[in-house]
Amino acid sequence: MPAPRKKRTAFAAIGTSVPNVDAVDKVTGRAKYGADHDRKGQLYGRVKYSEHPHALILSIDVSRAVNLSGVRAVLTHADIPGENSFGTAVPHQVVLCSEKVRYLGDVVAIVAADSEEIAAKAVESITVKYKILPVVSDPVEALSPRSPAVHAGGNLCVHQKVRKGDVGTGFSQSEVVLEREYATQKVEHAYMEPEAVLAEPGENGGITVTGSVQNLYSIRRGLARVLALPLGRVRVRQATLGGSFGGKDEAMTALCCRAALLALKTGRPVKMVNTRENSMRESYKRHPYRMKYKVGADRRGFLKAMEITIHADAGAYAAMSPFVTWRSTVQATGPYVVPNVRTDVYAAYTNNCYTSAMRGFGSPQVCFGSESLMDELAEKLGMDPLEVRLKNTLRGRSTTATGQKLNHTVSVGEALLNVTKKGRFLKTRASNRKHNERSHPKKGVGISCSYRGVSLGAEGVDAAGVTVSLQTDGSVVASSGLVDMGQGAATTISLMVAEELGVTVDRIRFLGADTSRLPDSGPTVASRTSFMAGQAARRACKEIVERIRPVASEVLGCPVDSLLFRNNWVSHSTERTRRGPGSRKAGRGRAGRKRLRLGELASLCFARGVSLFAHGWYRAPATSWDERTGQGDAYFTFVYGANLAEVEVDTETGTVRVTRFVSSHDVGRVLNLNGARGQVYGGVAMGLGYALFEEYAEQDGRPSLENFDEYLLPTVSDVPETEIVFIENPDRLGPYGAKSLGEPACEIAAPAIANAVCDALGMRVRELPLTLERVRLGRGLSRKEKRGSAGP
Amino acid sequence: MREASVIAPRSLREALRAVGRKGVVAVAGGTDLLVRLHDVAAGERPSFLVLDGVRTLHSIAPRGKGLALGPLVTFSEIERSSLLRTLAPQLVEAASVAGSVQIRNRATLGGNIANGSPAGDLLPPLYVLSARLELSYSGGRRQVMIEDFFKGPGETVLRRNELITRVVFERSQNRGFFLRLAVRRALAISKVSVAANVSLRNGRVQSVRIALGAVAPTVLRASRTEEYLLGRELDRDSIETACGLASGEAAPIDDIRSEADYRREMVGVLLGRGLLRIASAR
Amino acid sequence: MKLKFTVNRRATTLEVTGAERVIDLLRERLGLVGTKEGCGKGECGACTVLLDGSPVCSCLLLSSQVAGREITTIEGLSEGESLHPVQAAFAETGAVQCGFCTPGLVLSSAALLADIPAPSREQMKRALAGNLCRCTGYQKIFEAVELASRNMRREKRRRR
Repeated sequence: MPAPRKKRTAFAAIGTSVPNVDAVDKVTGRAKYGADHDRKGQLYGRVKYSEHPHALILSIDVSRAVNLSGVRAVLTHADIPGENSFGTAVPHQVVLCSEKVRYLGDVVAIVAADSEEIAAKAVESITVKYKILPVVSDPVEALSPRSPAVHAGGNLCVHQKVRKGDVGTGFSQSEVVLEREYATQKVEHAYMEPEAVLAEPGENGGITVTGSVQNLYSIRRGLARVLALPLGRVRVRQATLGGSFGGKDEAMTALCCRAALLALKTGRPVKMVNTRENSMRESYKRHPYRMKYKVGADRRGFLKAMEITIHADAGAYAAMSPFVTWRSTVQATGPYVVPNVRTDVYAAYTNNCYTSAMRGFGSPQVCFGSESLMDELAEKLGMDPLEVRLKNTLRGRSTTATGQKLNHTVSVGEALLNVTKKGRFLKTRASNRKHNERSHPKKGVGISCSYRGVSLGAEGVDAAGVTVSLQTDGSVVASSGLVDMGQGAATTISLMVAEELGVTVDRIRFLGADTSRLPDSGPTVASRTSFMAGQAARRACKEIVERIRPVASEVLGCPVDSLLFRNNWVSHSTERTRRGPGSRKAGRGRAGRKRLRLGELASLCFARGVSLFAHGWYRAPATSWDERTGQGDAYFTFVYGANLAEVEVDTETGTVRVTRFVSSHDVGRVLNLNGARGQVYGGVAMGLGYALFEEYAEQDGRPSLENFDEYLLPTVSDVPETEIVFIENPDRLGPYGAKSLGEPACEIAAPAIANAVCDALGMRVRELPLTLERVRLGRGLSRKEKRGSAGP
Repeated sequence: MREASVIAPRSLREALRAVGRKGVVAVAGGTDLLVRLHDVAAGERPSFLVLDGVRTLHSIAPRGKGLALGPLVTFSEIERSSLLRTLAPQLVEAASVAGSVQIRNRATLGGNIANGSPAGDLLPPLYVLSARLELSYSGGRRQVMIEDFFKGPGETVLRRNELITRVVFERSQNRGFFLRLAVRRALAISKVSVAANVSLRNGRVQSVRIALGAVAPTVLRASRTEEYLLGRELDRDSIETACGLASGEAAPIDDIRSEADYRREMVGVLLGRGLLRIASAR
Repeated sequence: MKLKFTVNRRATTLEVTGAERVIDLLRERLGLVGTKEGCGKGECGACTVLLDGSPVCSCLLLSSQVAGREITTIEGLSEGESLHPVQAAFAETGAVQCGFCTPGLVLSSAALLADIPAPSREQMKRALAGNLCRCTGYQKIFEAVELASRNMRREKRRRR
């Protein structure tokens, strides 16, 4: 155990900037992603998609496909040994449809064949007869009693609510009341790697799947349920993951189940790799929201009441919608003190592509709503956007919309001051006004801020495990139930192990996740990995250190509590070991020795039968929630952030260019500076796409686009210079005080940009994305035709 | 991939002999063709006539007062040609904003023409440079003006047994431009594009050609606008009128990429910007 | 047909139909799985390889189009165990997150630096716009290219 530290500079590894531990494999092409795994004798799997967004299945004829040469299996719902559905909240997501199809990504049959081409041909030869049903495509209309039902129980997926104080009283005390409607669009995760999996039948009648999975344990549960196998015979291994952003969960469960069904049927490995088109068609998206905000404030700008009604499009299946919308209710007011709150979030089933987790998890939508609203309120009050925010931001001991008293350092004000100071907000605003009177393109500047609950909160069980195994040469193997999906978890957890064991990061090998090695740690979501896996890793390391310290103490002849573990050496803490021992050989007989290589110590321990392996388990502090009132301690702690964007708007064409971006986040403690910066830059770029071009457009349940030629992501030419100001208010619960960053970095970028655009235009646009047409004409694309005569 | 056959001729003669055969599709760079084939998941593959090996189709050479380009000249080669930069700046500008480096390194002039998309970036410049296409077949060839080449989106007068073997055009007049609008700053298909080729004498428009991209089933010459501008000085009034006329000449539609009224308006905006640039450069 | 071409400095002969996509040839016939497929339509650049030194999308290239030519994939960028300066810089600056776009971005960057040893940000933007990345927001990719540029120029001066 490292000596007690007073200052954070005492950390050896934490807070440093290190290259990702897997970077060399990735720059050389050695890293193996889902589609890079092949096995001898493997077959290729393909799916037969539904041809209608909503229809009853009358018959499925696979006879022609079965008879094609090279086809090894054609399966339908009748071939499923277990349940034909899965799902965390509502287990109704169908693996192979039997009676009904609910969206175009539903699958009615699957094929395994000797080659991709034969599989594709076989799929085309399957004929399905349907009775077409009316399509439910609007989430508000879906809740009308006259709407056709997507699921037997009706179209209401979930209704989440918050009741705090009495909004009637609040509005009656208000001197200014605004009512506004905002809307956000459906967007795609657009991880660069399309879903891929290899399923192999095991020797014991079980199954092993290796692929691009984000949440191994929920996928394993789905597999066990569908295949009717005990969990112990289902093994899920994570291949190097080419991005996920929340996206490779249910979509991967479906793919894994299908590949596994084919593998068990044929007794051969089956590989299934989605094309981008399949991925776009089938994989879930971020919920589009329609939001009604009513806000009341007194003349001085203090908020009195907020009433919020939101309709979310859940699409064909529940997936994570109940949890996503729950987070929205907690964050819907924004990071402000509002004495009276009434929030209702409804998610409705439709025949659109289903929606579930995506970076932000119900926050990017409400952040756009609340942050647009605050700008509008400021204007109405004749104040500037900063002033009205600072008047109302949460502070230490403030009570949130859900009635939670904040008992830690609340830094939303600090974050706002950081970005507005760095971006010279008020000065820039004033000089832009002058510029815009006579010059073109118009300039604008906008701000946004948020608070965000860390980890899962009252959403569910919140615990995670990490194993650490010290090797007899002093190297370390670590493995976590929460995974690296490109966000750098492997590096961050390695850094914490390095800190605790006093080894250098290069001595640590972080293994890809595997359900057979580690206990269910819940999903890698909610920006919980550094926090939860970090705490678990520390516990495992501390346990090992506890066991080997007595041996070290005996060998070095010094008290247990004066041992220092650092740089792969163990020494008496009075020794300076910062730069290692150099070439001096450290062996002078037992008691006389001053330092010892960690590897030597590990060897000695091993020889004495001391276990060098430990499993750390961390359970998050308790939260509470009353569903009736929507009140409780929703999360055990929160993070705070603010963004500032500067834009140039060509008002003649509607072209927006983001010219500068400032991002400030309280992360508690920066664990890995490189990783932390990467999260912010990436989050800003994703928020920029959300603000300006991305939209998964659908018409009557049919997507108008299917690939990156029409679904436009930001390129290197579109991103602004981004400055970052990290705030470190160590949290008493977090590892080294760290909290979370992945999602906060993303959720408020779009509203900052939107506010800047509106500032430049002198006009409010209340819908995303801010396409050229919407900025110029004030309305979005109708996207009437898939491809018109002006297309290629 | 299925037993698709490939013909890889080394000479134009060989190529022309093969092009008429049933099920044979000529491939220049392949950047559009392979995208289209990607969309047809399991369809029968055609036979490919891969033209890469025919050296004579790659040339950039002066011809008379103008230029003759082989159809296999890539966007990147156009972008980097100093000859073209002087003689056909509109074409160079269009080639340099299209697609990405990877696409420009493979996409060809001939492919862009044969593909027949009204959003094809090289087409408006070719219209204003009065490009003439040489279409060859086994035993002969014919010449077609670029404006007569397109019948509709993706439809051209190229016969099954013909190849575009040369693109000939005049050198640009003393003023010209190519402007376009797309969602992103790179790697995006144009919502609207405008090319012009203008000559001024004593401050007045002596000749002018304007072509509009992505606002009609084919690229469109704004002939009424051209007529109006002839003989006029380029000032605020005349430019404004020209922009209004050009917007009226466009016949855009709503599609996934944009809205008709937006496109129509943008024709005027882009033309206005280009003409202003010319006027102020005097 | 017999296809003769050079892959990663090695003369290679394969029996092909000529109609395969080069990406499939590389990944399935030659086991060079460092070349990734992200969209199959030339939009994402994950499949970028160098054709005679120039970046192209291997998903839009037929095997018969590379006859007699030279292809470099990510596996062939470095010689032996030492990393190419661009690879080293990507790893060092943290320009690598999920890594799926990385092979393509590294190759495009290497081609850029071979052409322009000290590119401006604008030149980088033009050269790398065909490589989509969803993780990094591109900032550290700029830093990586700049670092590689400095290291390569220093190395060049040292050799002179």
